[in-house]
Amino acid sequence: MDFTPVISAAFSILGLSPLLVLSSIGILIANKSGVFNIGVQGNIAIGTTFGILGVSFFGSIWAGLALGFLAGLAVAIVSAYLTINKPYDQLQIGFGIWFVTEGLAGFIYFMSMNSAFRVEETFPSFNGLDIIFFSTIAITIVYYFVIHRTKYGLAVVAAGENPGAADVAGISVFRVRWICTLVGGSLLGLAGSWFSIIVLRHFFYNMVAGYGWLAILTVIFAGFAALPTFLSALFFSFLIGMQTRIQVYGFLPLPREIILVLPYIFGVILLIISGVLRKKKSAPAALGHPYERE
Amino acid sequence: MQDATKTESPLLEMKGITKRFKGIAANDHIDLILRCGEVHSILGENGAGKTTLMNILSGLYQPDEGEIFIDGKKVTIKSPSDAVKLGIGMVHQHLKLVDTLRVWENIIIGYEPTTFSFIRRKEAKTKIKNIQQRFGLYVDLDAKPPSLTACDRQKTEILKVLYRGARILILDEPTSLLTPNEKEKLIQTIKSMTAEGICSVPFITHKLPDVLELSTSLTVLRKGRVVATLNASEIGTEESLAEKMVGRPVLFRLDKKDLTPGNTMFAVDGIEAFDERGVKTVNGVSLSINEGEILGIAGVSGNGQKELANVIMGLIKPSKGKVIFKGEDITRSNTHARRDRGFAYIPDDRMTEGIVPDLSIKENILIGNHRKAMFTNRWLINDAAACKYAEETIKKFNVDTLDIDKPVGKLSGGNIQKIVLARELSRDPIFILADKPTRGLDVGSQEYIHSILLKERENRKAILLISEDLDETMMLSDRIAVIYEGKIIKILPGKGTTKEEIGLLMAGHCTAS
Repeated sequence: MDFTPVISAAFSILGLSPLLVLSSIGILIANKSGVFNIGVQGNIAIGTTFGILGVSFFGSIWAGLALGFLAGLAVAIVSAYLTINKPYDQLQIGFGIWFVTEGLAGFIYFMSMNSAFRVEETFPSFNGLDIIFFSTIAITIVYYFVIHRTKYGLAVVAAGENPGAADVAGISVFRVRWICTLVGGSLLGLAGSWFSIIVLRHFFYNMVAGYGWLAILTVIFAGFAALPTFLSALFFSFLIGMQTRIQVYGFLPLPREIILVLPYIFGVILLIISGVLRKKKSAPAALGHPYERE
Repeated sequence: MQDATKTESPLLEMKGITKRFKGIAANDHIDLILRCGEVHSILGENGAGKTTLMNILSGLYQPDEGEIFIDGKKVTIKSPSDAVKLGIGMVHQHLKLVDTLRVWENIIIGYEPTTFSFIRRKEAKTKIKNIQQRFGLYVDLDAKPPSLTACDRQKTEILKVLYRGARILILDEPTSLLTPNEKEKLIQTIKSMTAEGICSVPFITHKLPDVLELSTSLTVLRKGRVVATLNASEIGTEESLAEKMVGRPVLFRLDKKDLTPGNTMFAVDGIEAFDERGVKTVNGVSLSINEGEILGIAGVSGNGQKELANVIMGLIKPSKGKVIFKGEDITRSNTHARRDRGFAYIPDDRMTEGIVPDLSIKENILIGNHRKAMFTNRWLINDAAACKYAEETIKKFNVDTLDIDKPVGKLSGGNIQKIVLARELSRDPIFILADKPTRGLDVGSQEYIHSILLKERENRKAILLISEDLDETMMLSDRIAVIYEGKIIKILPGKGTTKEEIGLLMAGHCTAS
């Protein structure tokens, strides 16, 4: 038997992982402060659009990344205003953001570009892993130390667990949640632009598929902790990589449609199992609850 | 009285503080003076404005009118961090601890010693340990709040405030969640802290024995106004304080008629049950209650009372044993069927089990009665009948509002409990299970609820009273069953039993008999 596809599948784990790692860490940051965004799918989609647009207008993939980052930031500003300043239901706002931004992503692209544009450039890489992959490791480590070792970390955890406690400790829950939502949203935009620029290399409608949802699932599966989130994101990337290989090489005699949904089915099953096995509640206690002084 | 401290400007002076919520004054021109080393009790019924006043002092609310002076200097307190800078710290009634952070992290939060934002852990812990030694407040610093006892959590909150260098330590109902033993310890701690003059304590409470034990001065609030300011020599007795709080004499000893209990109404036989964590907390309980009798269950919270109540109401199934009602085995019947037979339940946690806070008074009174023919016309609820019923019921139970569309969560604790009683007792039950019916209520509401229970006793109802308040249990009960670690260790007559005797049994000291 030829093992080449297996080895190359193993590489594709790490190759695709920045999308999931960046989005999961982005989601995790906002979640930790108590803000839940179900519309991350849309944030990522906007990132994909502006990633390609940035490359085509400025002729540099770095500009694409920067524009994707800023686009994610812009979406985050809107959702932060609606969920933090106004105590609207975070689920409703999240769904709204998702519908609007995912539609907008395609609309903006096709309004600004006529022809199909293809990205040719690549980021500096090492053994097939580009610089963004290494940055995701750095981001995870920085996240870990900020949350567990610094005063900002304490403030974020308090805002997400017991905003009343943060408030009486002189921490502005408002400011903490704004900052976390903006940082998180920017990472989502970054993840989207990296995905469109490097992985798919051109824009097509609904290109994010279900990766945003998978990122939400990753964070829940990992119990809202940094290192497990990073590892789970790698693991789910591996599943997606396997899925493509299985399709291409036909390991399993199954219809293509079924193979396509396998990573998601597998993910949901894992989530259920981990939910049953987990004894303690891991989500921040005030996740999804707007904070208002009584 | 011209001693030195009184001629100096007081540590804290609040003048003419007024705060309105939606046009209603929660604080109406309140004056308050706190001197160095004092424990100044702020006494009042639920909703008298005690907590609002202290939230203003700690910077959570801004007063609409009035001035605050510290050491004779006028200050404005715009936020909790302003208050901390002025040496004011508040231990809130609903503790503000982050469950996922360790005790030491909870203590330093917001005021961490840092290098480039990184927390200097050792330094923080040493500083906390010094405070612990100085005040004798020992708590495991590396534990997380959920694993601590109520008393240790309370201590953590106090440490948090002391860590920030508070001179004015506001305590909001600090004893309400503590067992008698823990309460004693906390009171000693407060005494030693204030004796050295390091701290001065505004002490919010409606527990009169605590006031008598601790206060060096006190202010009584009623409906947002100061009705009395007293110093140590003028405090007087529980009765006189209660009268000032409520505005009328309060009967601490209600008239209990001698009744001969009738037939056995309700019994449990050899009940065993598990709590939600899978721990066996009820371990072979057998009890019987007769018509026209109140059986009190005395015991420290967490000895199986909650699960026993759940078994009786059919909310959980016992793993062993029988529930018998009028000679019939009803172990297998569900809650709805039990209520139809005439069970009424006053749960211990009124906010989560007693009512639905966001629903209106009318809807809350309807819950559980909504299937009755008089409230439905075929498919829909007959709103007119429901309104009429709700209006009559709240009038009968002296609820402090006439607006039946008001969300119940907006009412005071006493009124919420009246709504629960109104719903449960207006169904004309024959067996009443009252689990801590006066928990957290002020003396006026307590008196009212006690009188209602005694009236139901005279109406030949069988009543099972679960309570942690020994005075309550002893005053109301015909017989007292002491529960310890899931077992009834002794059943005593209500008359002629001493508090000490029950107290010892509650702590698990079985007398050889």
